[in-house]
Amino acid sequence: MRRYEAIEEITKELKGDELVISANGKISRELFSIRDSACNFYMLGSMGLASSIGFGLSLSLPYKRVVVLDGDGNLLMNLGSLATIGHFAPSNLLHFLLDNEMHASTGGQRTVSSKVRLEEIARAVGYKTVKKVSSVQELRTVVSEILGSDSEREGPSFVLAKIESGEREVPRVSHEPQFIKKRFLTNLSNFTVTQLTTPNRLTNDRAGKFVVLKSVNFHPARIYLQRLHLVTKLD
Amino acid sequence: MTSTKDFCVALKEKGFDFYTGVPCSILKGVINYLSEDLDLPYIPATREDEAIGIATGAYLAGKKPVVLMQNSGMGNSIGTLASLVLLYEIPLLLLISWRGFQGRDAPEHILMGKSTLKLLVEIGVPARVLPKEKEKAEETLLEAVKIINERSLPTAIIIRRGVIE
Ligand SMILES: Cc1ncc(C[n+]2csc(CCOP(=O)(O)OP(=O)(O)O)c2C)c(N)n1
Ligand SMILES: [Mg+2]
Repeated sequence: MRRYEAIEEITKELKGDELVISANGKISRELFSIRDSACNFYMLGSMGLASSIGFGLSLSLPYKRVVVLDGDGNLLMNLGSLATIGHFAPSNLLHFLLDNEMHASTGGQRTVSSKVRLEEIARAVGYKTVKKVSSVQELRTVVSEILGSDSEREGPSFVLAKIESGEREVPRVSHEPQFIKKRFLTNLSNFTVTQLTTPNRLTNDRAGKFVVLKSVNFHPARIYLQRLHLVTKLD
Repeated sequence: MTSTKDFCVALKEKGFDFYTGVPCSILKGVINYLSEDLDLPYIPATREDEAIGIATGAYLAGKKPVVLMQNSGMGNSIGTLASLVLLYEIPLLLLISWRGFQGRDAPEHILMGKSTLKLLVEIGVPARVLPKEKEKAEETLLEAVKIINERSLPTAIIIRRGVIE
């Protein structure tokens, strides 16, 4: 399975309102060329931090699905992020690792993921659903199981997709960084309260804290205010 | 001197509603206070740049985040400040402790202590040292809030030992 095939497979299954954070390098470029959207945040620099950005989003918007498209080089640069995510375990976070065992974006230099079992680390830190796939068919099955609207799967989910080497020509993300941000924020601010579903459960050993969070900070009225706040800021 | 409680209450009053970072003994009181506040998340990060990433996600979700760190950790974060926070103009409040202030500290803090403000200024993060006097400290916080609210830029407040107790 090639990187672009994996991204095609994942984006095909999206309803369209999921927030997608893509790792830097070719992963963002491929996502941009396959499905540009206001829901995409292309992380152009800050290698390694896509999962952290996705985590911050998923904690703060528990009623939204957050998808991270990560690379092995990226993840290995910020492995601590896995531990943080595993600990707080936001159930609305879906973490895809496009693992080609190399830094393909910079010319294919090897990473250590050929031997290091990153999916075992994800399991050990507390991801609730962990899958490893190596073909388009397998990925399709897992993606529809996890992303499907009637999904019973509990998050956070980690899907390691083994990717073959080989690059295709793919243009750079042509949007300005500030445009990417503003478009992302505007899109979220247009998201109406009626679309809200019950907040997802946040599980961790400081559960008491998040129970309070859920009822105070994530109260629909509060989210509505948050929405207004965003609108005024952008206008 | 500002009390830990007054400082944290002021942060909350200004609308800061998401906290993350890595501890420093200078920020001990503030971080402990925030961690115990049931209305707010304080997310302990493994690294300072990770904390900045988490805070950026929270900002994109409509939160008003604060990142707490030691100045040594700011050293770890220069690339992230440049290629994420400044690139996309993410208005984060950075509370950075100042180890190595005036060259009087453990050896590992001396060089970064000398360079902290210069590094921030050099990359373009507006930075202010939190004054000892309570009224002046309040003004400094207000100025930082103004940069965040009106110009949507990140800004740093540098905290020396003993200024918040
Ligand atoms: C801090 C930092 N170090 C190095 C780079 C150069 N760089 C850009 S993309 C990349 C590789 C990313 O690898 P991976 O996440 O596995 O994605 P792939 O390109 O293999 O799909 C590297 C090393 C960078 N942008 N930032
Ligand atoms: Mg790779």
